[in-house]
Amino acid sequence: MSKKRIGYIVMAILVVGLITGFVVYKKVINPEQRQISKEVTEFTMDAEDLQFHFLNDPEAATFKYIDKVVETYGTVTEVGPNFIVMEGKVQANLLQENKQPVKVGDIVKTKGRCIGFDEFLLLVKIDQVTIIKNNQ
Amino acid sequence: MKNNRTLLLALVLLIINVLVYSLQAQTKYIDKSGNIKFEASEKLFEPVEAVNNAVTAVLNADNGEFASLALVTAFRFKNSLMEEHFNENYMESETYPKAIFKGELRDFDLSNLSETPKEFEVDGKLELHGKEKEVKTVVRLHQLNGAIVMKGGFAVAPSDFDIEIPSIVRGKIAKQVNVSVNFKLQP
Repeated sequence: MSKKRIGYIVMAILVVGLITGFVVYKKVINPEQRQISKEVTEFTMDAEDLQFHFLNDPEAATFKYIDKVVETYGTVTEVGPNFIVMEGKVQANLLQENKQPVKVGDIVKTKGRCIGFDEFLLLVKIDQVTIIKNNQ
Repeated sequence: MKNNRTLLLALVLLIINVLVYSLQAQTKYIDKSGNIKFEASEKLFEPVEAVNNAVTAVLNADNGEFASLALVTAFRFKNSLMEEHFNENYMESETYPKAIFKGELRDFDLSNLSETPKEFEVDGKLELHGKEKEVKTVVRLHQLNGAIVMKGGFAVAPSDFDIEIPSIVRGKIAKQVNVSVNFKLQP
């Protein structure tokens, strides 16, 4: 085997090693934040159904929906500074950079990450929400 | 004449209705998207801090009763791996999804509030990770366009709530976790 050839092989191993190192660093040691709007939706249902699941069996619902990507739809009953409430049952906290003009009475479909059930106000909360449909 | 009397009765009923409604509405001040931050950084290491912008806080303006509920999963870290560890290993947020504070603002009187911040002592219990601990602190309240703004903070230790920090990372996480809260409570 010529020296040149060995050199090429060593270089190839180094390059592969560097790339592997970089990939491991990006994926394992310092992975990027999730982008919920680009993830695959796991559950789709209306606001009333989602709240019913949490009212009916909070523990099972928490286990099933927490940290999962859900699409929820319903009529907007409240608009806050950084959130909307659908049917008075699901609170969707909007992604800052994704503010859209929404008003009470709009029928919207949202996509976000379910973070759990607020037993004080009986609201299911979803964060990092993007509005994917708005039929006024 | 009869017509007039019914009209008057309707009017009185309407006024009573409005009064009752406004009385009910006045008692509770609520924030649905309150803000809680915590910080447990050690010098020279990566900052350990997280923000939750979906906290519920309820103040009963009649007697100063105060309660707050933070969903643990909603705490967001800059480093997503840290966030994963926080949820899975330390807080076990699937089993204990909520952190709840219930307490009272001492000597609270709505009419004493103004646009300049006023301090109130808070006494209460914080429940998280299946454990409860007394928390005493001071919060500052002021009025802003009809809403009540509440700011304050307190410190807790993970060990108070049976949260074990593995020895490998113990040096990177402060013993005391500083929590700061910022609520805008709407009538």
